[in-house]
Amino acid sequence: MRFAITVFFLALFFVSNPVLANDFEKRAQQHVQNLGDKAIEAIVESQNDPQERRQDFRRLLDNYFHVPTIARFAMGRYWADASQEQRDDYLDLFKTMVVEIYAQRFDDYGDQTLAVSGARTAGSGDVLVEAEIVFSDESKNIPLKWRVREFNGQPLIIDLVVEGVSMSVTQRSDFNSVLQNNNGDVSTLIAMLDEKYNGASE
Amino acid sequence: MFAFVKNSQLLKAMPVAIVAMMLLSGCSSSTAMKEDINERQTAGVYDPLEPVNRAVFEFNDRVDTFVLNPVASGYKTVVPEPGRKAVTNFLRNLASPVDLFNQVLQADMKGAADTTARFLLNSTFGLAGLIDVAGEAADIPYESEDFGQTMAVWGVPDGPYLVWPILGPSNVRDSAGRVADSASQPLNWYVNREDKEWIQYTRAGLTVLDTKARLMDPMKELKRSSLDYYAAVRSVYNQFRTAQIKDSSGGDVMGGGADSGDQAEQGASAYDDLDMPSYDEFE
Repeated sequence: MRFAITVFFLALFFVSNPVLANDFEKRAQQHVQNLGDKAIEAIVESQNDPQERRQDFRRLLDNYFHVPTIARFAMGRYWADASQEQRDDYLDLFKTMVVEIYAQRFDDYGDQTLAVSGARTAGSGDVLVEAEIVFSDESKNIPLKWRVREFNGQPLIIDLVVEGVSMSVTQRSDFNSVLQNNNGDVSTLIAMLDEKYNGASE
Repeated sequence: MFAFVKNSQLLKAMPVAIVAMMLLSGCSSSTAMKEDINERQTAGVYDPLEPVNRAVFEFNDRVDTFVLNPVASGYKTVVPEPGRKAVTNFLRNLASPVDLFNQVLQADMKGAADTTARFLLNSTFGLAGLIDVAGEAADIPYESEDFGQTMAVWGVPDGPYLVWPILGPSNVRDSAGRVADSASQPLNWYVNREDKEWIQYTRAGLTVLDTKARLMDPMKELKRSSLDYYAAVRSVYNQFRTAQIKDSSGGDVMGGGADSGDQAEQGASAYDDLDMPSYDEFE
């Protein structure tokens, strides 16, 4: 009985302590590590099958990232002007774009792995997971940061930072420049994405 | 890179240029700088000369495509990886006095100690800097410092974005910084005194080769994956410099090197404060 009481209070102590706050940091780290392992698995398995690689990457994108947040951030204030139909088209194209970019990026994949090394909570409440792409030649290692946010209790990635450069911020600058130069016309952006990632206008 | 300018002129012009810039742009407090960084990260880079910059950028892209990238590819084919690494190490070692000078100006004593140790170890055991003994054997991290970063730490804003022919992305502050860096490089004092300008030309040529060989693939990747390559490069340059400056001012290193894994405890960086909203208002 005394044992049970001790356990109870111990449990209470841990639950009510900063350990709880760090629980999401831990889960976020695990989430990123899982993605790394799954991605490498997918890359190795789809070495000679570009179509399979795209399917695998799309599944990983859906399961590990919160694409709506990333895509909306990239469009910035112009999102408010977009119609529902445009938003749907854009979200769909955004996914295709990310899959296409990363499927090609790993064409010359060697024997790299992803190693998660730590995490910390940013001012906004998001968790920044620190990791490294590990090469056989250690001096070539690339440090990365993943921004992970909790959605309905589930950790999902919303940004990737390489050498201080955020993919989301870069994407936003890119898209916003296009929109600014086209009088904020969302349909032009959508048409450009469609042409670039779905081939000629369909 | 400013090998063609005589240093005596530079030394005279430098303080004037810096004071002028401070007056023009107004000195900002550190909070203002932080807000400014956040603003620029989410909104855009201040680029009043965009049409001119775009034209120069276009020109540079052509030079890259038709001249520099093929040359860099050739270099990568002819010189194997260990050789290219030796060139990188050698050039970094030559730049050590400038790194040190700026670390002292930024009151970055740990950085200054690291740079001094690296310079001493690599210049001797590392065979005149060809081998990074300090980094590999003693785990002393390399840090690139320049006067542009120093001015940023002092609170000088970056001013309008600029694209220089061949040299590429910069801004008013970083451009002035490059001039100052050339003037504070002891190697250049020697070269000018002894009229051995071939040393400067060789160093400039090697620097271009080394930089292009390392940046060629990431740049091609960025070009391939962006709709507006110019805007993407502008954003990347700005973010990269912001991260370097943050690292100089004792803030968080935004993945700037394979140093100690426990940066987690360090202070918040501009990126931490980046507002990536939850977008509930759109639902």
